[in-house]
Amino acid sequence: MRKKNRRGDGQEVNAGSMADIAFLLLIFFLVTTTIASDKGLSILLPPKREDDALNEFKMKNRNVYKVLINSRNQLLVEGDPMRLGQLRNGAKEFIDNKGRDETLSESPLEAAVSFKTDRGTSYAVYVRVLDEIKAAYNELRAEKLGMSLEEYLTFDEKEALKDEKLIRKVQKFSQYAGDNFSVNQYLNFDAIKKGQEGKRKEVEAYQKARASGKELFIERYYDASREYPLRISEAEPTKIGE
Amino acid sequence: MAQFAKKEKPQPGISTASLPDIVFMLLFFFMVTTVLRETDLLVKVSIPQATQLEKIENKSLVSYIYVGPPKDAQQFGEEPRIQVNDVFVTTQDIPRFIAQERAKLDESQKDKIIISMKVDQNKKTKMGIVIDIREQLREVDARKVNYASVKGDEIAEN
Repeated sequence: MRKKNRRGDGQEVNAGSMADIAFLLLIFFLVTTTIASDKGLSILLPPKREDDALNEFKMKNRNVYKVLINSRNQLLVEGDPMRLGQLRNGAKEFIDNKGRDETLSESPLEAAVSFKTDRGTSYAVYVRVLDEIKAAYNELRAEKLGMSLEEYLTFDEKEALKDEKLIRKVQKFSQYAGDNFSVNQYLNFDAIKKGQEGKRKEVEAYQKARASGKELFIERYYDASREYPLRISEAEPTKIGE
Repeated sequence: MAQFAKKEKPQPGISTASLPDIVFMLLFFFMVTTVLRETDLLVKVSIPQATQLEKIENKSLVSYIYVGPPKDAQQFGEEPRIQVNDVFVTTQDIPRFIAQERAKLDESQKDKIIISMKVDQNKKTKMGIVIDIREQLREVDARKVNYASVKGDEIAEN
């Protein structure tokens, strides 16, 4: 790099521009290479179809929010055509009805969204609609927590799970219940459901642990997801004439 | 170049000769660490936009399925195809692919496999092919699916 310039009188090659060139390359690589980020819309598919057993699980008609898209990418919600921009509020109203309106759902726990597409529906539209349905749920949860949707989405769950206060609460819970519980089990503990199952000791231990110390945000975060459980059923693909 | 030769060198300041070395080092670091793409894509995939994105925390659990029109349209036509691990497959091959991917995971994590679907948002890519893949995934009980998407704008109301 520091070759002597033979023609000149002992002057060095100007290496100052080398840095510029290298910077240029560096910036090029910085800009072009996207660090592979695995982001997207997660969904849990319904279990494998067993011919009779699962199909018997029927829901009340009023608790199902039926969303259909045809092969021309038109949206039909509860039997009426709808624009994509209205879907979020429509779904929110439906889910959070809590029995007020006869035609809408009974409670957020009962409500479910049935989302059906045609084979000819374009994938981009499908993702958009799925996104809107998820947005409806996320907005309801965010409202429950008294925050904006953006704040809700940017909440760093991984960081909050490492919180010492939380770990201490989980330890207390395990101690009171006389069993070993993970953080996940503590946060997902459904007191109402467990109460119905007759596990009174666990419920009491949970309530005691929960009441010890200040209430943590992540506890409320999980409460909100429990109050508005994401229930999007991707309905079975229709056969012709069905 | 001649212009440079004419210039008189000012008083020797701090030598910047090592600056390129440093920058090159950074450059090499970035070149080595950034993986351009794990697989050679045979299909065109432009990921759709969405707003309610979730990050996949445990990347070792993820297996990718690519769907889109082939890049080499003359050889493979324009109909969307499925690609896994550098090769085109049909929907019938999906269960075998999942079994392979499962075999790579630890015993305790075998049922936690996540399928990341990277599907093209082009108008030609219809739900039919996605539905077929989904049915196959249900068959082998790989039910955690993530539709890969990038951050997009909100849809305006009405």
